[in-house]
Amino acid sequence: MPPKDDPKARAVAKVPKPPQQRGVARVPETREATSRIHLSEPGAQPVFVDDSGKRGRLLTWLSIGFALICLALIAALWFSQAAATGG
Amino acid sequence: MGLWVRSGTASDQPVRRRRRVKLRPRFVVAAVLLLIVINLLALEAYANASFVPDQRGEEGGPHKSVPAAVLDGGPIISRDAQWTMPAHTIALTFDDGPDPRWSPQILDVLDRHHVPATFFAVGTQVARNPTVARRMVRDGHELGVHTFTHPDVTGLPSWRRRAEYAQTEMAIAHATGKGTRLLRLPYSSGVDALDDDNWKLTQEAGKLGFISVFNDVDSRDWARPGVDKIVHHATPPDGKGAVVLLHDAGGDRSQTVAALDRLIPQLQQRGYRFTTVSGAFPQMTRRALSNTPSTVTDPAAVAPTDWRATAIVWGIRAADGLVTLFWSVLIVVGGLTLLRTLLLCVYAVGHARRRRKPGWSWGDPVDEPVSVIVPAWNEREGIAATVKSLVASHHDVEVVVVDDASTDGTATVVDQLKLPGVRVARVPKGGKAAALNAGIALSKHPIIVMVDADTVVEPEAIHRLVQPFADPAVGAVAGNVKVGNRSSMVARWQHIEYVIGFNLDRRLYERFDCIPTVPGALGAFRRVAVNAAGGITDDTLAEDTDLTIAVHRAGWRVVYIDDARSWTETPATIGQLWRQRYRWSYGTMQALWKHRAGLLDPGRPGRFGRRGLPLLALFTVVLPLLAPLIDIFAVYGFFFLDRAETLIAWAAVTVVQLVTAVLAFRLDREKLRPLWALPLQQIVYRQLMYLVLVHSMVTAASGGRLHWQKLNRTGEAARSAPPAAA
Repeated sequence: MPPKDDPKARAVAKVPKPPQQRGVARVPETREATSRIHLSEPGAQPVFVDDSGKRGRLLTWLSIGFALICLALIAALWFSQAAATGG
Repeated sequence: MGLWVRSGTASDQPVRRRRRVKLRPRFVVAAVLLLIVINLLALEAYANASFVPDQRGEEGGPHKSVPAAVLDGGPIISRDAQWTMPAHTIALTFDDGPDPRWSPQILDVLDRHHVPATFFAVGTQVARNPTVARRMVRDGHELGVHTFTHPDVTGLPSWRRRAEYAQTEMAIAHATGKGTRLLRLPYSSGVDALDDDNWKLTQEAGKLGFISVFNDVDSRDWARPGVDKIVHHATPPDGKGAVVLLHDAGGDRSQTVAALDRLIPQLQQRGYRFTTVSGAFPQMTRRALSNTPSTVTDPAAVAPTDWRATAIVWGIRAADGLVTLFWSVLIVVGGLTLLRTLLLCVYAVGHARRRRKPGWSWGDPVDEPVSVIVPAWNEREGIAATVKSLVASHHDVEVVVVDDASTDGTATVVDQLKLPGVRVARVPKGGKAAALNAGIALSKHPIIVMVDADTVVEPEAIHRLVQPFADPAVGAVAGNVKVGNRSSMVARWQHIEYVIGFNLDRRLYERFDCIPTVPGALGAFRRVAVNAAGGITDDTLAEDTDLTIAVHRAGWRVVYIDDARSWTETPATIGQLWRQRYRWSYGTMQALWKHRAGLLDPGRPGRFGRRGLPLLALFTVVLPLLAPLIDIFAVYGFFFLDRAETLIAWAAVTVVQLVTAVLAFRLDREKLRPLWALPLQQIVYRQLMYLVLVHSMVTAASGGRLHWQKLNRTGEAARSAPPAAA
């Protein structure tokens, strides 16, 4: 669904008749002036990035904690069964 | 897609250094988690008796060392005694349970006739069905040890046997709060069939304080011979007492249940009384325990709350839970993948057919000149070929090379070509997005084509690429990007991936109006569409995906043109490939996340957000992220499950992929030869791809900064590329 102003119609209005040779060496001043430059927003932060490192540290500690708990449980399992069969 | 260097800021260096330090615990944690998964899988394999020797225990070896008195004696043997069942006394014994389905039915029958029995339980089954075990004890039955995993214990080292007995006691104690001294070894039968090996085991068990229980009468119900036969086999001759062997698990036990309902009243009519094994000999357990060493096998040592019992029971449950979870996810993944493959085949072929029909047209031919923007940063190896190929196009083009402060003289190389219609714009260092924005502003035509500086286009490509703009609803067009350097294995895998990705995936995505990416290597946009999308932004590393999604959300259609071909240079080493894909997958996630509000987009233009975004998230992030399960189960299945079945399943997956790939290659009229590398792709490439995905997922979650990196160019794509253009 295109926007209301028909792009093609608008395009034709803007660019009357292209020159016949390939490419155009120079862009007329007027057109350069009307062209819009999209500048990235000044304060735009890249998606996901957290430069304070807070989120990363929290995640690191959480995952270390989780891994340690799992490791302790596995160690307990091995140890208990070794103790049970050692007799 | 282009390769770039993000605009460096003064603060980049310390950030990078910090990141490197932060990476380490991440890998340690990953290694630990992997270790835990391996442990649980090993435990599961153990619980399912996958570590035992393959041969089934067969009695009937030599029995020279077995005393004749034992062979002729009763079926119950302790360290220093042997018991025979008194006349008109029956001890019903059930092996292999508890089973969640059949044991309760057997318990119901026993309950109805008020008859106690003895259940020789498999430890893992007790851990898995503790409520059934508890009911057995509550109903007045007795539990005995039938080992933990039901192996043939003769083939095991003695420590494994001790573990099998002790763990079963633990499981029973944990479930029921009761200890037991009774033991029946798997595959044992009557005491008269004892051979030397089994006699040794019986003596060993006696020393550990166990009472070995053989049987007098085998119902042979395991073979499901019919209810009559089971009743017949289970009836002892001449009013003799007997230990009767039955089974309450290991397959369909309905015959056993039915036989029991007849056997018990019949025997009761003949004056039999029923008892548990120890119920027949009240002094037995005390006697067996006297003079035995007090180890963990001593029931007193295994309290129901014993942490060792808790550990093994919960270990089994965790392993079961993990494997069940893996299986169910794998089934969902498999189903979705299969569905996707079907959709791909149906819609991609349909798409190709429609487009290739003689009468197909987008509308009036689009012949007006177009602007081609080539952003470049240090691309001197390939830029000349790129620009030359663009100028050779069979379409009027205005080429704007935007040089993003290259240090290798890229701009000079282009200048020296002195080609008509080619301009070089030198812009201050600002990254690829800024360079593209500058190029858009400096070009004049309403249709903009973007081409990467490492890419060579075919002469017809630009003209074909812009034809869909005859349809006023089309806002962007994706071209067909081919791998130019196919000599190395890594590049060959990418070639396969590109052909499938472009010829199947993009066609399917077009059908559902959700093409995620108009590739930076060859794509065309309407200027108004780019403006509506707000230009190219640099807050994601996949600016092409970001722009494409924004164009979709602005209400434009995005289509794919397969015969507009360009040839690009892909990473030739694993390291470069890793970095490129790391950035792509991270960038794709960024773009999807950035546009998450699209899920609530209203109206018809919002369809992409509501329908396309979840679809893309599912197929580009979630499914590939779960792909490792396939490999985990391939390895697990190969070693611990049915090996042949696993290999067949794996082969089936490969064949499905091969068929898909052949289809894609045919649609693209590519030679099939490179497909020999496909099975190999399954072993290195796929794993690499999901590791990259996991890694970028972690980076995204932890908020780490990922930077643009540039490929080492050889210019090989330009040299070897377009045979069609030559």
